[in-house]
This record gives sequence, C-alpha cells and structure tokens, in this order.
Amino acid sequence: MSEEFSLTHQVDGNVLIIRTNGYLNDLGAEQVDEICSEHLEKSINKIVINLEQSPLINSIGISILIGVIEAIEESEGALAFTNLTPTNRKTFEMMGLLQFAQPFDKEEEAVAKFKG
Amino acid sequence: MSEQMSDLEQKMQQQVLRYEYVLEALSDIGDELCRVSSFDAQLKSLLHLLLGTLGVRKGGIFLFENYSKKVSLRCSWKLVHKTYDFELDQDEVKLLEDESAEITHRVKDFSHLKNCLQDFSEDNLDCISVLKVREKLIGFLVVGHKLKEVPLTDKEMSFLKTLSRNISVAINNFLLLSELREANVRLDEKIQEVSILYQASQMISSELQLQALLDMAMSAISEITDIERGSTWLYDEEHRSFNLMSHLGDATELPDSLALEDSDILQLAQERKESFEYEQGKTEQPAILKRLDEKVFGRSFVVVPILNQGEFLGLVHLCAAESANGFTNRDIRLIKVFAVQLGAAVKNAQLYEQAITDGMTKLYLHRYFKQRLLDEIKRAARFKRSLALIMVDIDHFKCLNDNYGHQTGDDVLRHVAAILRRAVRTHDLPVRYGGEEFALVLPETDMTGAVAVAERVRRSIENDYLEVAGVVHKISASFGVSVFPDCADDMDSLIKAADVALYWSKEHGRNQVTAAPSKISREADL
Repeated sequence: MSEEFSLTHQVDGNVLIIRTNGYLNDLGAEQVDEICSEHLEKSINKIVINLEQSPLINSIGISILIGVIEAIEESEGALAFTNLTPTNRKTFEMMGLLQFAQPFDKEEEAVAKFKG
Repeated sequence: MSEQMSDLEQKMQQQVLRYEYVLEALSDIGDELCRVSSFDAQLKSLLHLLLGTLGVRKGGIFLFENYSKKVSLRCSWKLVHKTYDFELDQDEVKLLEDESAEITHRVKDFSHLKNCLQDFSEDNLDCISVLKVREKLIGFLVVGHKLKEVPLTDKEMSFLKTLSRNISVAINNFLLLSELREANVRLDEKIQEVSILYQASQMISSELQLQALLDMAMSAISEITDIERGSTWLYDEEHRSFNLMSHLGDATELPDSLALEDSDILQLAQERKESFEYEQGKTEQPAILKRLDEKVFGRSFVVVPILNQGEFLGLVHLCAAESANGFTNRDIRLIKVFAVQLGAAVKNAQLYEQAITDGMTKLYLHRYFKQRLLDEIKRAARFKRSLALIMVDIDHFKCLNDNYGHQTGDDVLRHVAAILRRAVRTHDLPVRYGGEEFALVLPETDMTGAVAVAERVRRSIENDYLEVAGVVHKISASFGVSVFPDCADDMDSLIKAADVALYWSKEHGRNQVTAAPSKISREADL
C-alpha cells in the first residue's frame, strides 16, 4: 500500500477520540481495534472516530470497524464517525454500520454530543 | 405510484452499490495476490476482506495438510480459540473433495466436522465454506453472524461462495509459491554446499605430500564449518597407533602419537569406520569418555573416519566453535562428504610416498632425489638463491656388516636415517643415496649454513650409540658438502663436488665434514 496507516488518539473527559491517517485498507487498521479495546477495558466507552484523513476504506477497514462496533455494543457505549467522505458514508450505510454509530460532519459536534 | 417507483429505484440502487462493493473486494483479493508479504499476513488480509465484504463480526480460516490429514486454524478474527487442530479421515476428505458437493453451508446444516464445530459453538458461527481447488481440499472458512446476530441472507451466502472460491485459488497460489520458494532455497543451499566442497576438494586433490595434504585438509574443514579445535590422525597398522598429522587451535594436550589400545575413541573409530558424535551433557553417548580421550579430543566433538574403499586410514576430529553451538546436520554431512575425498587423496599421497621412499629408512629414494634436486637447482637459479647438497657415508659400514651381520647393518642404517630425518627442516630432503650413503638437499642454504648442519648431524651420530643384541655400537660418518651455484653450475657437477669432498673426508681420517672448494678458488688453484 502506498502509505502506512497510522493513528493518533486522545481522551477528552469520558470520550476517546481516534484520528486515523491513511487508507483503512490493510492490517494496519487493526490498531483501531486495539486502541478501542484498551479504552473499553478502562470503561471509556464513548468513542469518536475521525476519518477525515482516511478517504479510502475497503472491506478490510469495514471488518475492523464492525469489530469495534460489536465491542462497544457489548459494553453499552456509543460510537460516532465523523468527517466521512460521501463514498464512505454510502458504504457504511449499506453495510449497516450507521445503525450502530451516528455520523457527524465534524469531530467537535460528536464530542459535544457525547459529553453533553 | 411514483413513490413506489422511487422505492424500487432506491432498492435497485442499493443492490448495485452492494454488487459494486463485492466487486471491489474481489479486486482487492487480486491485489492481495500480487503483494509481497508473508503467507500469514496475506491470509489475514483475505479473511478481513471477506468479513468486511459480508459485514460479519468474526471468522477464521482452517488449512488442510494432505500428507498428515491434519486441519489447523491458521488465521482467525475474534473467535474463542486462537489455535485449533484436528485430523480428517480419508473418507471424509473424499466426500468433501467431491466436485458435486456444495461449497457453502449453514453451520447448522453441515454434516461434517461435527466435533470441531461443537468446540466453536460459543462463537455461534453462521456459515462454513469448503475451500478447494480442482477437487483438492485446501481447508475451511468459517464466518459468524452479522451485527446483532443477524444471519447472512441467501444473496450474501452466494457472495460468500464466490469469495470463498477466490480465496481458495489465492491460498492455493500462495502454497504453490511458497513450496517453490522453499525448493529454491534448498537448491541454493545445495549449490552453495557443492561449491564449498568443490573448492575444498580441489585444494587437497593435487597434493601428494601427506603432511601438506593434511594441513590443507584441516584448513579446508575450517572453511566448511566453524570449528574451534580439530586434528587429523593417520593410522599406523604396523604399530597399532595413530600419528598426529595436523591440528587446529589449542594443541597443548595433543601427543604426537596415540596407541590404539589406550584410546576408546580411536578403537571405536577404527572398528566402526563410521562417524560419531560426543555431546557434553547428552545421556546417550557412543562410549564412556576416558580421561585420556577427554584430554585429547575434548568433551564435545565429532569423529569422522578417513576411509578409502573400505580401508581405514585415519580420522578427523573436530570441536565446534562455542559460538556455533554445536554442529548442524549440514555441517556433519559436508564433513563426511569431504572425508570421502580426503580418503582418496590420503591414499594417493601414501602410495606416492611409498613409491618415492625407501621402506627401511623412510628416506627418499635415489630416483626421486635426482628429480627433486633438478627442480630445486632450477628454482635456485631462477630466484638467484643458493642450494646445498650434503653427502653422508657411514664409516666402516662394510666391516660392521661383515662382523655383526646384515640385521645389525640394517639397524645402523635405520638409526642414522632417523638422526637425519630429525635434523632437517620441512623443505629439506633427506635421501637414501644407496648402500650406506645418504644425502641431504637443503634449499635456501649457503656453504656456512650447510657446513653447520653437517657438523651438527655428525656430532649427533658420534654422540649417539646403538645397542643390538647386547652389543653397543659407536657409529660415525663422513660428510662432503657442495653448494649451488658457488661450487657447481649443474646437478651432475654439484653431486660430483660433494662426492669428492666426502672422499676427502674419508681419506683424511673419517668422522669429519669437508666443504667442496668454490669455482673461484678452483680456478685460482689452476
């Protein structure tokens, strides 16, 4: 793949914010799953994933996000995706991801919603 | 009506999107095939591609190994077991490989692998696909439900089938490719081994001097494998002992010769004619290691016999370097193959030595002496160096022979020959010239040096004595020394000059060294 996937994360109150960087189309994306599991164990169960820097998400990425959704559902938390490209939004919708996670245009909106 | 149409349109659009998404996944599988990464990483990517395409939460890929009939979980995502193995029987494999059999099944309707699927019941698996290519079973693929435990739709089942087929082909390609790679690596190793052996064998094949040959063999072995210490021994059948020929590393504990009866290791090597290994701490050893053997050979070592057509000639003993952590099977195999070459080379050198040496005195024969002296003169002329020739004749030998018999005469010859052999350097040539006459060829030696050597040998003979059948014999010898190019320009005149000098010693009281006059002083005399 052309660029290495990376991510940064930050905890704001009881909200975990993950900002991905690079295509969510290889095994590097497993990092998202790992970071979420780590924080869910610490009872931080509200998670915002900012996908602005990940314009391309293929089925590998989807499979990992499904895993994240499953884990958050189990711990009765909440998940939000922000900054989705129109294509990604369509894919997420089609795969039923948006039944379990709310999409927001901007990261701050999602964080504000979870904090409030 | 229009609302209905738009509903239908929307559905159609959704369908198109879904197909597009599956197509994308198929193209990703194609990409995955072209990537350079490890088999396990590729399997994992394929599994994620499949799960993400179907929208399923968990799954795994089992691979089937035909020769062992074993199935093992090679890659999984979110399953209860990370590893899982089981065996299939031949009949089950046949049923599964059957071309007409359906590929994809609901787990609850699947009639095979009952035990395995039971063990994964906690995962509530939804579907299973049999992975196969051209009626060859490759493995299985299991998938769980979608989010909220929703099962796959029939449409999605058919996606799963299509994707499974593609994944089967992909895995099959990986397997074939990795088999090919492994075969290539093995081939490369073989080529490397052969080239090492070729070089090592070439080093030794043309060497006819036993000592030089075994020195070379030792260093050739250190090229083949990393050794800390090693030695080569040749077996002397007459004396039932082994003579140390060459060694590498610490030699403080190495004797020049070891009697066969004193060493279990030597006996073992000589009896078995097979290589064996000692490894410190191992419970099963070829024999109990005695103190002497431990001192000579160490605690961990390998012994490889030097054989030629079944004849035991000697052995190579090697201790692996500490850093190398013992010998690998490859090392031992290579050393064994090398020892075969060495056996032939040693035999050759022994035969050659027999042909050029006198059996009784172990000195070189006249014929060989002439040939070597000619070579040495040519070399000395080319490099403008001097070369000395010492002729030796035992005093009153005829008398000794007549009074005490041939046996005593032979003993005296052997006695003097041994002193000569001890007196020379590696490149010097001790010769039995004929009867009771000997010669020494000393390359790179001038008159002063040669006279000193002759004088030393003369004193050694004079100071020594020989006891035969209770009779003590004091022996002495006369010497004549000539040097190329000071005394002569060619071989015949060099020999003649030394002979004349020797004659002078004999004529003037024996037991003395005479230097041949140089050409210049001869001319001055004239």
